[in-house]
Amino acid sequence: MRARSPVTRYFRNLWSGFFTTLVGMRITIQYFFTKTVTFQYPEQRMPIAPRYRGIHYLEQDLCIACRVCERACPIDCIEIRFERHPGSVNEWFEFSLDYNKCMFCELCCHPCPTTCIHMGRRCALVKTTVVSSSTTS
Amino acid sequence: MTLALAAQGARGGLFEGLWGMGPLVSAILGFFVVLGVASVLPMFWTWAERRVAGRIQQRPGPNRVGPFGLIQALADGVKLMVKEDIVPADSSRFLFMLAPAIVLGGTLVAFGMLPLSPSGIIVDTHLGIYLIGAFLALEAIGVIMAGWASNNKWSILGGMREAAQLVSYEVPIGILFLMAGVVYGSLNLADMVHGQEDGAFFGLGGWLVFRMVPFGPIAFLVFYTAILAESKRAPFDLPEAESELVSGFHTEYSGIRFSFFFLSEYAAMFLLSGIAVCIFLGGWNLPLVPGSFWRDHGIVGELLAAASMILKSFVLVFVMLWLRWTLPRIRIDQVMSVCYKYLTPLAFACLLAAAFFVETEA
Repeated sequence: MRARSPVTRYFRNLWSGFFTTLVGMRITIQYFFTKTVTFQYPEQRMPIAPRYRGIHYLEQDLCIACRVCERACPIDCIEIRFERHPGSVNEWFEFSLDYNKCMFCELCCHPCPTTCIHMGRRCALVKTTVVSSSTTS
Repeated sequence: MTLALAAQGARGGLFEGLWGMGPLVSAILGFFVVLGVASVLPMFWTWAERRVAGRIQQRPGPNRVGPFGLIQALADGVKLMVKEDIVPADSSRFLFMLAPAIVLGGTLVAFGMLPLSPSGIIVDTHLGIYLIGAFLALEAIGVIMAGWASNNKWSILGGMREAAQLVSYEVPIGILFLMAGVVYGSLNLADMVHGQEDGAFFGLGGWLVFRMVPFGPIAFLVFYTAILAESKRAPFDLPEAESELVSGFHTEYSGIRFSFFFLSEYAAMFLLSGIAVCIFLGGWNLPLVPGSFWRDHGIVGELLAAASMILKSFVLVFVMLWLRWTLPRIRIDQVMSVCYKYLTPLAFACLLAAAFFVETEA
């Protein structure tokens, strides 16, 4: 590159300082007039994908308390308390799933012999009242 | 001090003659009006700032409190007022509590010399813009005081940077004030606005920004850059530099004292934009409107003039917000070199050119 005199450099600096600012301002004003990309949460929701893994859904009538899901769970967050009925299916009376641990991996759903546990589509653990805030059932 | 100045200088205040009011009462009443304007408009602009920031980042910004989130600023104000007033244990308590008052007071007093309409000027003195400059310089003292009294490294660094920056950028601003004085033959902002009435090209030709091409536009750009630095806006926001200095001189402040600094920053933005409008953009004059229109229609003319003035300075404030979300912060040595190597020589050139043009035109 040809060596420039300090005077030329001075005015080039001045011009590029002014011109590059205008270029930047053109870019930001384009964003200013584009549509917003955010969702206003309680009123607008993001669309939920068909294979989304949310809060579990248990078909209580089908569950035979076989504890396969309990064993499949990699972090042991499922705990089933049940009664044995020899000759018949087990009867469960507490199915607890600790959402403090659960990582929504879906590994509990695949081995279930009666396909009674599913991943739901709800994602918010928030409750609107204090009474119903317990996650164990 | 304000009242003494007001009583001495009031020559045709906003309310003089209305209901038989004398100059002193008129000045006091006018000062409260200006106080209202100067503290309500900046509140609205904190909202505008966040909305503009949001839009440029493709999000809506605050839109919950009131229509379009307009009352957000009020909600923030209430929140700041009820917060606990914390004074750090090792700080210099008296100076710590005095600093925000000095910063806000200097800015608000300077509003007295800014004409919002033909007779909407509170302190109508001959040295208008230089008084404004003097009161704005008080801000540097308050900021150093805040930085020193906080007993905090970030604060003192921010205060020092602020002082260096404010004092440096007063040089090109002062020279351009001189240029305005040469062009209009007066240092009173209202006289300057009257000097820009009824120009060529539908009235636009009278505005200084379109006169003495290319020196008028260059002077306007230099002045605008300098007031960006003077009001600590990006890319010259070094005194507050969040990523380096936490928040500079007001790191230790919270609650109502913090809101004083905040209000003063936005009031200074409005004030300096108003001065730029008065000197370069024809004040309340609009194209196709004769200069006598504002004076001949009584209170309606005055209100329309004030609206035009506020709208014009809002355009300048909007560009400030726009620039903030465009440019990254520059280094402190770059801030200084922009001032002394680029703006000051250009301002001198504009002053000489103005003297030359005025002499040849006369």
